[in-house]
Amino acid sequence: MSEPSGIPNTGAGRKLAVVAVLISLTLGLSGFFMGLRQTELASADSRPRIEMVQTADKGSPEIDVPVAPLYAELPSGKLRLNKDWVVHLATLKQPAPEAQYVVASLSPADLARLRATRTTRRQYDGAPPVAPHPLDQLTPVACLECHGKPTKIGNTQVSQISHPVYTNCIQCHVSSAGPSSTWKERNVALSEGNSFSGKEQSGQGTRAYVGAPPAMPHTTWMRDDCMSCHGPGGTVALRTSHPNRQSCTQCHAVNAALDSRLASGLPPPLPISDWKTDSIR
Amino acid sequence: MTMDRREFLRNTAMAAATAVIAQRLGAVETLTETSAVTKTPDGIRWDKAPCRFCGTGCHVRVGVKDGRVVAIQGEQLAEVNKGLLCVKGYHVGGILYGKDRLTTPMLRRNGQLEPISWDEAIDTIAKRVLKDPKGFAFYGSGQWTIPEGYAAQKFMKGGLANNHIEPNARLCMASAVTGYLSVYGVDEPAGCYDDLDAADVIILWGNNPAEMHPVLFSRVIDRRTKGQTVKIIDIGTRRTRSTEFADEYLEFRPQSDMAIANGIAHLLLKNDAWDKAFVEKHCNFRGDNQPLDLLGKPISFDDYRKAVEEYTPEFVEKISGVPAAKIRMLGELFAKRDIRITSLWCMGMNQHTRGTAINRLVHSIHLLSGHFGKPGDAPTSLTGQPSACGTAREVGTMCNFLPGGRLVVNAGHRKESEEIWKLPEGRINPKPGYHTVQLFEKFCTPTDKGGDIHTVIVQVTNPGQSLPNLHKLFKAKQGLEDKFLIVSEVYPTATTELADLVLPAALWVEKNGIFGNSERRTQQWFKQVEPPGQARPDAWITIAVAHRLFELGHPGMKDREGNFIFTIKDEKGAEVPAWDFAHYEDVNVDKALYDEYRLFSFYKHKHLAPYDVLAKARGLRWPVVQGADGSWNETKFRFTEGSDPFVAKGKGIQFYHSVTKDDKALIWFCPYEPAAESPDGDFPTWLCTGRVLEHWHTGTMTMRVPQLRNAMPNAYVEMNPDDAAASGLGNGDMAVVESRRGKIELPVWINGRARPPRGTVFVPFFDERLLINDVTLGEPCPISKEPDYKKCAVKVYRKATANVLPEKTIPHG
Amino acid sequence: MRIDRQLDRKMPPTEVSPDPVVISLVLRLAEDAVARQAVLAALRKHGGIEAGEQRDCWLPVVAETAQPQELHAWLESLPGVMFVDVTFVEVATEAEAQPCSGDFSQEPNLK
Repeated sequence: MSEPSGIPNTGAGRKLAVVAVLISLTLGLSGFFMGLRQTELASADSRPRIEMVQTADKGSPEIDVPVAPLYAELPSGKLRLNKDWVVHLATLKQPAPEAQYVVASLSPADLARLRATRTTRRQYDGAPPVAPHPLDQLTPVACLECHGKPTKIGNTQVSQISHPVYTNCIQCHVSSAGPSSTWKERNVALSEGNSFSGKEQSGQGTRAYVGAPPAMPHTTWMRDDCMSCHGPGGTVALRTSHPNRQSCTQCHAVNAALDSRLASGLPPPLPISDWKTDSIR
Repeated sequence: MTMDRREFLRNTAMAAATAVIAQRLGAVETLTETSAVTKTPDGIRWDKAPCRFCGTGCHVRVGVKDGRVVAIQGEQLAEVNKGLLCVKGYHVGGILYGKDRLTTPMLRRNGQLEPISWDEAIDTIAKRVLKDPKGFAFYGSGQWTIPEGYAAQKFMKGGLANNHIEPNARLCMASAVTGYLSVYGVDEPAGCYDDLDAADVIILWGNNPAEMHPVLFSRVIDRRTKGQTVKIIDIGTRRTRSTEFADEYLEFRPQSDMAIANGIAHLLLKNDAWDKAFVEKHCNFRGDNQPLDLLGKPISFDDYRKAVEEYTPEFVEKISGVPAAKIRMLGELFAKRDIRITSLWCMGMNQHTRGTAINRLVHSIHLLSGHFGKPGDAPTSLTGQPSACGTAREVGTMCNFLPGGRLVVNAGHRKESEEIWKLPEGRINPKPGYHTVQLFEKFCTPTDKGGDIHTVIVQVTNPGQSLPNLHKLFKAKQGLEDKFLIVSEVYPTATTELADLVLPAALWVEKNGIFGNSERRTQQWFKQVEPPGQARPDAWITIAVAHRLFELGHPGMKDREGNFIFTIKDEKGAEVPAWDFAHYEDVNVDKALYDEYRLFSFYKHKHLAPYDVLAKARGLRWPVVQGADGSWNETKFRFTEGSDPFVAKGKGIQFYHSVTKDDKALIWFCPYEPAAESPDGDFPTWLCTGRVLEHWHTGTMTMRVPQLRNAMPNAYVEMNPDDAAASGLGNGDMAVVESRRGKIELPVWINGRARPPRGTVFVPFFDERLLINDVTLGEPCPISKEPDYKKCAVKVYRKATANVLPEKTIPHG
Repeated sequence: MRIDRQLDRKMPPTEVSPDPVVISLVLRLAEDAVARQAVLAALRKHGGIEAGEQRDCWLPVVAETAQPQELHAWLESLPGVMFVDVTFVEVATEAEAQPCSGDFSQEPNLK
C-alpha cells in the first residue's frame, strides 16, 4: 500500500505540521536577529581595533597614514581631523604673475622719443593725427588696408584705428607734408608761426592702491577699441601686460573726473571687425 | 454723472496724459540742457560753441586752460554733428594764435601803417562818415555774428538812412535767396538735416560735400555702414571726392544744369508721372518777365507744358553731354512716389549767371513730382558760411532788405521797422543801395568819374581776395587818394594791403556770439578767452562809431525820443555806456541787441527763441514757439502740418507766405541760356574755382594753422592729363592761367584730388599769393546780383622759364 | 493666455455697464508726417475723442466711452500709431475694482 510520504494529511497531523513550521520559522527569525545583535555587540566591544601601522621606509620621513573609518563608525562622528595632511604648495616653484607676458622695457629716452612723435602728429591730445606720409587725395578706400588691423612695416608700428570706421577717413586725417606723393616739396613752414599750444597727453592712469588696475586717464570717445593702442596694434610703450583679457572695462574704469558719457543719440557705425569694404557703395 | 464731475474727470484725465508726456520729454530735455561748462581735473574748462567755419554748423566743445584754447572736441549732444568734426573743425582752436595777429589800430600815413589809439581810430571813421554820409558803405559778412550784423544794419539803415550795406554772402547765397523767395515767398530751406537721415536718394547738383560739408556728407555715407541703402547721384562738372561715394556720376557741360532740370520736368509731364494731387493742391505755375525780375508772371499749366516740351532727353544730351539714358533715369527716379529724394546744392548753382533760375528749377521739379514736405523729400541749399543764413539773410544786411524778411521798397515794412527801432517816421531810405559788385565798382572808380562811394568799412571778410575780377573791383582803388578803406580784421590780408585804417578784431570765442546755420538753427556761445592786445569785438566798433557821430551831432544817431539808437540797459533798467569799452562787458550787449532783433523775426514766422533759451541749447531751429506748458519747441520741417506750428489744422502742407497769396508755391519755367563767357578760339578752356577741405575761404585763418597749411600748402591748377600732355605740362610744372581780365602762374596738379574733364581746369582760391580772382569773371545773375565764379574762359599754357612759387607774405604794417 | 491677462491688468475689470467711463491715453505717433496727419484726421472723424497738445511724437487724448478696450484696440490698429499707453481710467465708486497685484498667479475677478 502506498502512503504519501511526508505530509500527513489527517486533520490532527496537519495541525501538527503547521505548528512545527511556525516554530521553526520563529526560531529561525529570532536566531537571525539574535545573531545580528551578537555581531553588533561583538564588534562594539570585543573585537580588537586595527591600530596604525607604521610603514616607514628607510630614508623617507615618517608619514602618518590615516586609518579609514569603518562604515559603521560614520554615523557616530568619530572621524579624526585632517591635521595629518600636509600642504607643500608653498615649496613648489611659481612664476611671477607679470612675468608670464613679457613686455619689452623701454629706456626713458625711447619713451620720450615716442611721446614726442605722438605729440607732433596731433595739434592737441584728442585731435585726429596727421599722416606722416602722402595720402591718396581722391578716395579713402585703401586706408584700412594698413590701419584697420595691427600692422608692422619694417620697424614701424602702423597706428591702428581706435574708433569705429567712419567712411570718409580723409575728412579728418590729412597729410602732414603736402597733398600727394607726386607733389614736389614746398616750403610748408609758416612764415610767421603759430603759438597754439595744445592739451598734452595724459600720463599714466591713477591707481587706487598698489597693484590696483589703473583707471583710464582719457575718455573713450573716439578711443573705444582699447587694443588698437594697448595691444599689438599700438606702440610697445602702451602695451598691456595681459592681452589675453578681453573685457578691459571690467577692471579699468573710466576716470570719474572725466565726463565719459556717450551722449550722442545714434549708435556709431559698426566696429572694424564688421567692416566690409564693399559697403562703401 | 453730473456735468461738473464729468468736466472734472476729463480735465484730470487730460492732465494725467499731458504730465506723462512732459515727463518723457523731460527725460530727453535734461540731457541737452545740462550746463555746457564743465571742468576736468587737468584744469581745462570746457564750454560749447558752434564751429567758426562752414554752414554745416557743427557744435564743438572748446577746452580752455590758463586763458588759452588748448583742445577741441566734437559736441556729442549736438544734433548736427553728434560728436564728429572735420579736419578744420578739429583744428579750429589754432586760428586764434597765429603770430602775426593784429593787436593795435593802425592808420596809413605816407604809405605805412602806423599804430594809433582806438579813440583816434573811431574819430577818424566818424569824420569820414560825416564827410558825406551818403557815400559811406558798410561791407559785412556771413561770418558776422547776428548781433554784429544787426548793429551794422541798424546803424546804416536806421541811423544813417543809408542802404549801402552789403554782406559777402551776396557772393555766395544770393541766388539761393532769390530762388526761395520766388518759389515759396520766404527765404530759407523748408527741410533740415533730418532729411539726410531719411532720404533714399541724395542728388548733388554741382557741389562737393565730401570736402565742403564733410560732416553732413558723412552723415549720409555712414548710413551705409549701418546697413541702410542710400543712393547718391553726383551731377557735376568734374569728378571729386564726393563722386567716389556716389552710385551715379553725371558729368555735364558748365551751365547746362538748367537743361537737365528742365529735362526732368519734361519727362515727368511726358510720362504723366507728375504728382497731380500735390500740384493741384499746392502749386501755381510761373514764368519769367522780360527783363528778368524776382517774381515773374503767372503762366498756365499748358504754357508750362509747352515750354518744357523741347527738353527731350536727346535735346538735353546735346546741350549737356549727359547721356539721354541717364536723363531718363533721373526722370524715372522723380516719378517714383514711394522713395524720398533730397537735392543738395551750394555754389555750383548759386554762383551762376542764371543762379536764380537754376535754383527755381530744382525747387520746381521737387514740387512737380511731389517730393516735398516729408522727411527725406527736400530741395535744400547748403550754406557756405557759418551765419549767412542767420546774419546776412535773416537780419537782412543787404542793400534792399530790412530785418526779418522785409524790403526797403515796401512802405509798410519801413514803417514796422521804424516802429521797432523807435525812429521818426520816414527815417529809412526807400531806395535800395548798391549791391556788392556795384559797390566796389563805385569805390574803385574816381570820384569825378561817378565813383560816389568814398569810404568803405569792411568787417569779417576779405574782399581783396574774394571779389571776382579783382583788378577792376579792388586793386583799382590804389592811387585814388580820396578813397578810404577801413578794415576790421584779425590778420594781415589781401584787403589790409590797401587799407587806410586797420582795426584789430576779436575772433570767435574771444567774444560772445550767435550764428545761424543752413538748417535754420540759431546757435549761441559765450566768450571764453580774452582777445590779444587791443583787439575788440566788431559790434563794439559799430556802436562806438555810432556814438561818436551822436556826440558830433549827427541826427541819425537819435531815435524819435532823442535817445542814442544803441541805448543798452541792464536788468535793472539802468543805461550802460557800451560805447565806452571799459563798460562794454558790464552787460551782455549781444543779448540786448539780439532780444531787440528778435522782435523783427515774427513777421515772416521766423520766430527766434529768446537769448536765455538759446544759451542752454545746442542750437534751435526756427520757428521756435513756446508751448502751453512753457517749453520752447523748434520746427524741423517748415510748411508741413504736425511739424510747423503755423500750418493750419487740416492743411497738410501750407505755403503761408505764398507769392500768389493762396498758400501755394510756384513751379517755374526758366529756359536754358548759355553762359556769359564760354570758351572760344582765344580762350579755349573753362575755368572753375572753389574751395578745398583744409582751407576756409581765403585761408586767412587756416593757412596759419600748421596742420592745415601743411596738408595743403599752396594753390594749384587741376588739369586733365591729356590736356596737360598736349600743353607740354607735367605734374608740378608752372603754368599760366590767363583770361581777358588777368593772369597768374600756378603749379599744375594732375590726377590729384579731382579729375576735371578735357577742356576744363579748376583752381582753389584760398592762397593769397596766387589770386585766381584776378582772372575770374564778374558777371552776376541779373536777379540775385551774385557773380559767377564757376565759369569763365581761360587759356592755360606752359610758362616759358621755370619759376618757384612766390614767397610773398602780406607785410604787417 | 498670460498675455491676455496682462492686457486685462491694464484696465480694471468692469462689468459690461452702459455708463461710459472717462479715459485718457497717450498715443505714440509714427515719425512720418503723412501718417501723423492721417491719425489726426481719423481722430477728428471719430468725434468722441478729444486730442490734446501734441508734443514731439506723443499725443494725449481723452475719451468717454462705454467700451474702453475696444477703443484702445482701435487706436492701436491705426497705421500712424505706434503705441498706446493708458494714463487715466475713471473708476466708478460703485463697481468693485480689482487691485492689480502684479501676481500672474491670481485669476482676475471677471464678474
